[in-house]
Amino acid sequence: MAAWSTYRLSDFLLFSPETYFRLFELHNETLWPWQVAAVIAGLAMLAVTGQPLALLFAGAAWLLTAWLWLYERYATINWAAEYLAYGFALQGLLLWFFAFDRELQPTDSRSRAFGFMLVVCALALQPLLPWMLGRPWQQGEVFALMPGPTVVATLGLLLALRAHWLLLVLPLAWCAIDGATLWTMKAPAFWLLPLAGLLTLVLRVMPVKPRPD
Amino acid sequence: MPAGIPVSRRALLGGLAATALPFNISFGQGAGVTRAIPSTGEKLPVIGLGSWITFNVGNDPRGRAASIAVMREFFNAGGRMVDSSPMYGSSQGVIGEGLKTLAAKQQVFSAEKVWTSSGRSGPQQIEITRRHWGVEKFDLLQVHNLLGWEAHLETLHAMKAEGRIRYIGITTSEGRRHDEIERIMQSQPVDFLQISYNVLDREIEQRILPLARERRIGVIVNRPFRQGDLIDAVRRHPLPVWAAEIGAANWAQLLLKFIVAHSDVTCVIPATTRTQHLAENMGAGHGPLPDAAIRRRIISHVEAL
Repeated sequence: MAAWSTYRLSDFLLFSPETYFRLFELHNETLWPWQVAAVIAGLAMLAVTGQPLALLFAGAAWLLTAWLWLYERYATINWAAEYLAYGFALQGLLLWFFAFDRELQPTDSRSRAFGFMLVVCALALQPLLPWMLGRPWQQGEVFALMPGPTVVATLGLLLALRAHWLLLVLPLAWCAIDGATLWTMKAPAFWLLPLAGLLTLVLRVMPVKPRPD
Repeated sequence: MPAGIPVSRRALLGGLAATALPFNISFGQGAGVTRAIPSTGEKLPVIGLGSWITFNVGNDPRGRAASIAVMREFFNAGGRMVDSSPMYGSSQGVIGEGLKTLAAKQQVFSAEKVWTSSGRSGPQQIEITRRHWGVEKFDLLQVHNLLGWEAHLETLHAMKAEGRIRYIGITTSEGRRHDEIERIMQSQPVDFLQISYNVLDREIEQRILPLARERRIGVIVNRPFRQGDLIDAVRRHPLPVWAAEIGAANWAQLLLKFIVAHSDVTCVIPATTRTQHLAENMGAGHGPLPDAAIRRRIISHVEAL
C-alpha cells in the first residue's frame, strides 16, 4: 500500500495532450453532421429547463456520450474509459428514472438562474473553448456527444430542479476527473468543470433565504 | 565510426581509454555501441525505444503514421529493443502495425510485459499482446510493476522452458519497491530488470546495479528523462562545451550517454513522438562514452542547473 503514496497524477495519464485533444477532432469528423441535431436537442432542453422533461433530454445525452465517446472513442487510448462508460450509462438511466418523479419541483429563482446560465455555457461556450484557447475549432465539445458540456448542462438542470442528490454524484465525480486530467496535461481551462461542480454544490447546500412578507 | 557524429579522433581515443568503459561493450557493425545481455552474451544496441504515452494514439491515422515514422528511423539507425505493455493503451497495436509496415519483425527485439493481478489471466493477456504485435513469440516478457509477480514468473519460466519466450524480466519505475526488487533478484532466475535511472535519480547505483552484475541480470533503464521533465528543464541552458569530448551534440545525448556509460546498464529505452528527437537519442549510442570523471562532471553540472 505504501507504494501508492509515491504515485503522482501524471503516472495515471496514458496519453499526450496532443493525442487527447486530437480525439475530439476525430470524433467531430466522424459524427458530422449529427452535431447539428445535438445542438437543436440542447436548445429544446434549454427551453424546458426547470421542468422534469429536461431530465429526459439529459438522460439521452449521457447515454449517447457513454456509447459514442467513452466506449467507442476514448477507450481507444484509455482502458479505463470502458468502466467510465458504464457509469455514464447508469447516470443516463437514473436521469430518466427521476424524470418521472412526481414530487420534482423547480428550485428557487436564484438557483434556476444559475442553472440556466450553466446550460447556456454548456451549449454555447464549451464548443468554442478550443478556438478561444488557440486550438483548432474542430476540437470543440458538443452537448450529448462529449462529456464536458453534457455534464455542465446536467449540473445546470439539477440546479433548476429539486432533484434527488443521487443524480449529482456522477456529474460531480466527472468534474473532478476532468479537472485532474486537464491539470495533469497543463491545459489552461482545467478549472472549468471543477468550478461548475463547486458552484452547483455550494448552491445546493446553501439554505434559501425566505422571502420577506 | 558511424558518420554524422562530430567527434574528434583524440576525443574518441580518450573515451575508449577511459576506465569506466565496461568489459562487455563493443562498437559493432557501424550501428553504434552494443552491450551483451549478461545471461547469454547476446549483444543489443544500448539505445532502445519505449512506447509509454508516445505510441498510445488510438485509431488516429496521423498519430499512427508519426509513430511508425519514429519506428522507421529507429530501425534504420540500427535500433532493436522496442518495449511496451498492456497498460499502454493502443501502443501495442501501433507497434504491431509499424513492424508489419516496416517489415521489421526480424530486426526487433520485442520486450513486452504482463500486467494483471490475476495469475490465471496472465497467459490470455500475453496471447492478446502477441496478436497485437503480430510476432510469433516475444524475445522478452517482463512482469510489469511486480503486479502478481509470483504467479506470472511461474508462467514465464514455463514459457521460456518451452521456447515460447527467450528472456524473462521484472519491472518497476520511479524508485518504487526497490526492496522487493532486490529480494526477487536474489531469489529468482530472471534475465532482465527494468528500472528508472538517470543523472538525478541514481539510487540504484548503491545496491541494485551491483546486485544485477553479481546475478548476471541485464538492466533496462526507463524514464531516462523523467518523462520529459528533465530534458525540458536542462534544455533551457546551453550544452556545456566539454560535452563534445564524448560526442554529445545535444542534451538528450549527454543524458543518455551518462546512463549507458554505466557498465551494468544493458540498454535504455527513451520514448518519443518525433523523428528529430529519435535521431538525437540514437546518436547517444554512437561514439565515446563518458568515463567516471566525466560522469561525475555531468552530475555536478546538471545538479547545479
